[in-house]
Amino acid sequence: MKHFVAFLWTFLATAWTVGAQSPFAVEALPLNAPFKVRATADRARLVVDLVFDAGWHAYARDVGGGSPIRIKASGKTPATWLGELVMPASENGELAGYVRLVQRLQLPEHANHLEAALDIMVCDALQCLPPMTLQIAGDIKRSRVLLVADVVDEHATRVRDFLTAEGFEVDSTTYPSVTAETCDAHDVVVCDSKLFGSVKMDGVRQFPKTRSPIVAVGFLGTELLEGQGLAMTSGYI
Amino acid sequence: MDHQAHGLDLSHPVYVHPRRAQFRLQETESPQHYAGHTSPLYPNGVGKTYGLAKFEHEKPSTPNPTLVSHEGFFTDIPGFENLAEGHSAKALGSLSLARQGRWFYWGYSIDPERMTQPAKDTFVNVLYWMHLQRDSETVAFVTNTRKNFEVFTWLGRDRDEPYLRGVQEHLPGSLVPELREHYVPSFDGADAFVAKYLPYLFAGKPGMPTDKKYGPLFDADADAMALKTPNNERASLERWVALADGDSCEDRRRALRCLERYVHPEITPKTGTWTEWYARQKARICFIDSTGFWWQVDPTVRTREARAARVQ
Repeated sequence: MKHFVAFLWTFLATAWTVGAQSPFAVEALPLNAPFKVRATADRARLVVDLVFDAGWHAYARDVGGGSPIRIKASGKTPATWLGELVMPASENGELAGYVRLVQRLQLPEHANHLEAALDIMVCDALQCLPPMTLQIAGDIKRSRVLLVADVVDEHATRVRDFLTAEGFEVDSTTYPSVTAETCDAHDVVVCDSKLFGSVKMDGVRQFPKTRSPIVAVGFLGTELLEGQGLAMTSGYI
Repeated sequence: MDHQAHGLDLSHPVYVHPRRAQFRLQETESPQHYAGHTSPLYPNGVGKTYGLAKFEHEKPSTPNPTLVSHEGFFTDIPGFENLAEGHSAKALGSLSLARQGRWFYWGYSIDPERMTQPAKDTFVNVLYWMHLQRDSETVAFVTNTRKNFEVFTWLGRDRDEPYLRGVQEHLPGSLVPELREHYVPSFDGADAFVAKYLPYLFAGKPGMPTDKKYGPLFDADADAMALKTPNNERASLERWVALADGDSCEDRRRALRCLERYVHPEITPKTGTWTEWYARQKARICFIDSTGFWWQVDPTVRTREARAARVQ
């Protein structure tokens, strides 16, 4: 039975091979606009990445030259916007080059769709283009978490159940079984550990290289960070 | 480390959103061996008391190793986040929550039976915070930082029976043999060594010796010392660049050797002058000890460049 459960965990992990969350649709952006946009969201934040062509900028605040960037909820979105739009610091109020905008939000449990309107006015040294309103829309899936444990046991099951109850879509696997493809297919990878002295270390030092963000937990977390050769664990004396 | 943390910046997103982590800080007298020291979260020292936050209901039944970052081993890595220190019997500066690029370290159990409610809330926030870091660039570890040598000057010094292995064994063991000859193995000797050599130490360069126990061995840069240019300061880099493009002299040769030694091969100029190179790279580069003592592309700049490339 224990072997079957282990197989099932590994199967569940490898069966999920679709990529991490997809970008939202952005509409009403003119083909010749001097900037590009990419938007993504999870249940906590809407993230809008902008890249302005050389010489062009937008405004972080009203400096008398043009309307500042704003993002507001639109359409049937049930989201509540929390706090101010977070954008890079800018001494003169201008945003140029690469710019990340982050809007914290709160969604009701049942909500799975988000629509927003991005008001933006862009200028270069000679002119400002007419203000634009871009429509951003997309489905919000639950964030996909891959839980990696040393073995399948009651502890690992409790952690998986905890994360599931917190609204994450959780797949599980073990250190000896995890692959880079499985990690890459998840939004975040949680590498768990029981207490020092009660964990199995098989496969930890061989953990695959992945582009996914990793949360390394406890004792195995330190082993993992060292094994990955990250500048984070030096300094033991 | 036990089940508690301190030094939390409760305004950071991992404590705020989407859950408000409501830790009840227990004001506690700070340990005597923390006195007189600083850390990334306590740049001015701890004070007589500090607030302890419980991440687990009970103290773990076994030792709980954590990351050691005395005096901030990694503060020269742009974007590195020190988010909590563990309650450590060893010293101030033991990280229990930290992020470097795509990697987050959580130094406590995530077994829901052990976690307190604010720890659960924080962990949920961490997962959302890390979801944002998919394109964040990490930097690789090559060598211990020069901060180790500062630690040797105080670790165990005030004990009734001072801890001597640091100054008698570990410090000289971390040096190349030639530099070892200039060191007197005592606390006073460590003070004198740090005062004279710390700004000029380096390790981890191709061809430098490595010790099985201590890893890459440290040398002191005679060129940088002669120029009075600490190897990790931007003013030093700018001086080397100016000298490198100047008239031929011994200082120019020293500066060129410094540039070759510390400018990462990935960004070293292939054509043009050093001044032109610096104008192009000035806003992109930083100096990091632990990657091998390099002027290199700032990982936060690399992150922005990667994100911009995804937008195109």
